[in-house]
Amino acid sequence: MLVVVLFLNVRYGSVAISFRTFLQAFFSSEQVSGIVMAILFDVRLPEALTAVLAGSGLALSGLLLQTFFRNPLTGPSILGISSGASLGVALVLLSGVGLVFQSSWFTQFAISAAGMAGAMGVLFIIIAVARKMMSNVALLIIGLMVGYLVSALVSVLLFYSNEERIQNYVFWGMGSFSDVNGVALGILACVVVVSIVFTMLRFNVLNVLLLGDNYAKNLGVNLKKERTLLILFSGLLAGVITSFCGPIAFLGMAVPHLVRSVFKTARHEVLIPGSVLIGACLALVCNLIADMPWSEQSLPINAITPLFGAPVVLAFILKQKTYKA
Amino acid sequence: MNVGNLAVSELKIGYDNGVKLIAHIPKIATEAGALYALIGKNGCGKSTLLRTLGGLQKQLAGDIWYNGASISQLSAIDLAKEVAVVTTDRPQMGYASVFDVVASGRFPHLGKYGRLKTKDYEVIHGALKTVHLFDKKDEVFEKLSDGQAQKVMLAKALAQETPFILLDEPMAFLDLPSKMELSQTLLDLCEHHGKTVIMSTHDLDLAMATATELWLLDEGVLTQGVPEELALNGVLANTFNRGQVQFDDGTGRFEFFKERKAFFKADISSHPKCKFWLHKAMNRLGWFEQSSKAKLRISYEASNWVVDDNKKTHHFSTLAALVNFIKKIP
Repeated sequence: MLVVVLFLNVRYGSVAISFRTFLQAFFSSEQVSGIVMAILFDVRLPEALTAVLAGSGLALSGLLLQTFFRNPLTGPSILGISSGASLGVALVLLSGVGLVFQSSWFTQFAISAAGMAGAMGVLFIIIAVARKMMSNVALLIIGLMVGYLVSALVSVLLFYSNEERIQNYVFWGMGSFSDVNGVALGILACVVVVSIVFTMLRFNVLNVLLLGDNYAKNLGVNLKKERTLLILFSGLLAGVITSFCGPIAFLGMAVPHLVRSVFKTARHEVLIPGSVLIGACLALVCNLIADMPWSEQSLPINAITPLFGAPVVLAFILKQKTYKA
Repeated sequence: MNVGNLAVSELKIGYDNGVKLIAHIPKIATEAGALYALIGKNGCGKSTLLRTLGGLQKQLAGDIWYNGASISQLSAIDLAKEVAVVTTDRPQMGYASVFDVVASGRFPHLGKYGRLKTKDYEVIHGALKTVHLFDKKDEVFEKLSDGQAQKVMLAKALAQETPFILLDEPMAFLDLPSKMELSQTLLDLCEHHGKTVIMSTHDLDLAMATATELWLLDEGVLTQGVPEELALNGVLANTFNRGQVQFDDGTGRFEFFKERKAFFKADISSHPKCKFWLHKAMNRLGWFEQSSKAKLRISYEASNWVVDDNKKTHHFSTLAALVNFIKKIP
């Protein structure tokens, strides 16, 4: 399925390319026009790869957070990590730091770095709190409060900013997989792959954490260490992806639910690969729809993801007879 | 410190860095293969003691030794191989199966990559069979009743293969036959597998019937003793007696205190069962047997209850009819 949607993503886009030309570009030694090559290899393929990485990374981040909080209604955006990234990006885009340097490559880099810094900043606050307070509910509330603080600060920045910069920020906020190239794609790939490998090696600890703090501790789990690692990885994933692709709504929260209800299991040795695969597929499908192959325009990705995500989360809540936080 | 023992010395338990001292326990020493029942009123600190012994919360002072090793020097994994704790909280685990929950008990024994080996499967299946839930191993844990869930958590503790098992109110959600069955299981684990079980319980009857020793926690003091000893020397009665409920050290049971309204005499020596249940029914109504003050004589003839109130005799075919008649006597 992943292969199919990946293929469709490269095959279709705002510019129609005939099937023959498409095949030639990949498998034939015949020369295909430079524009087609550029569209396929410089635009669509990186975009599809970004979607794969971002989708799987966000889904994994959401799964880790849901296990961490033993609360199925958690996602990267809830903890304030996405908000932190937003603040960093807003500082760059709205203050005009990026425009000081005329290079667009550097602007890209500055945005990403600021987004990561913002996400990690929030993350360190959360880790510091997590070391002192063992209460998950307190952490959730802190995440929400950080979110409010950030949107307040962004409002102030927006108020004092000019139109062009505001537009840049708004576009970033709509989310897109199409602006990640070269080095950025490399960083994204590293973070996502390392996170997947690392969490797969610790699936057992994640399974035990589901039992709750008391039982996990009695089974010999070093709670502080594992909680810190969990937050670190879920935050790293969410921070990096958010700064590169914008705050993508719902994928991180909805995909783990889909995986759980499809596989009917709570074992992380199934949930982690499942979330990674379904997250990637869903991101590609959303990207395909957003690209609107039938027209020459593209929708922002955040116009599509809630169409999938919201019903999944709603279905989950309605299915629960008694929901316990 | 002897090997095979759980021992404590000058242990102080409580919360908030000693602001709330719950109990001071100078000394405990357990024997392998014994069942200890921790009893006491609600809120006396039974759970706190179990949590502290199990390493889930820090003691305020003093030390705890498992097989001669201080709890502060054992690594988390090594402690997990010494003692399994079953708390009262029920994990919320989504789609996890009964097998998954029990399998988590193997965690401290698994290697680096956490794969279950043949031996682990044997232990898990054995634990499930011990609590009679092997046929439910593929069911979703969340869908079990509270009683079954509690048994699954016990199986998890068994899968942990520890010499010590601490149980916080393992009987709380069980019906009476299940309680007795579980007691039997625990006794079996102690006697035949050499486990040391410490369980807190509110079921004094069952504790008296099964425990090697009672640990009575009251007002911050832990009194240890053989159940019968504590009954005989009045410790139990002193702790639990209050108003309407009395510990009867003649029967070893809690009884409702009943005002003695009137007295009767029963002539049913040939039907001991009938006599027993007649007493139950009459005591409930406040009537007690005492020949010298008896207002009624009750006998049982040809499957009929015969009541003689010195004026005439009444015949009743059922206890219900008899009870109705007694109720109407002023």
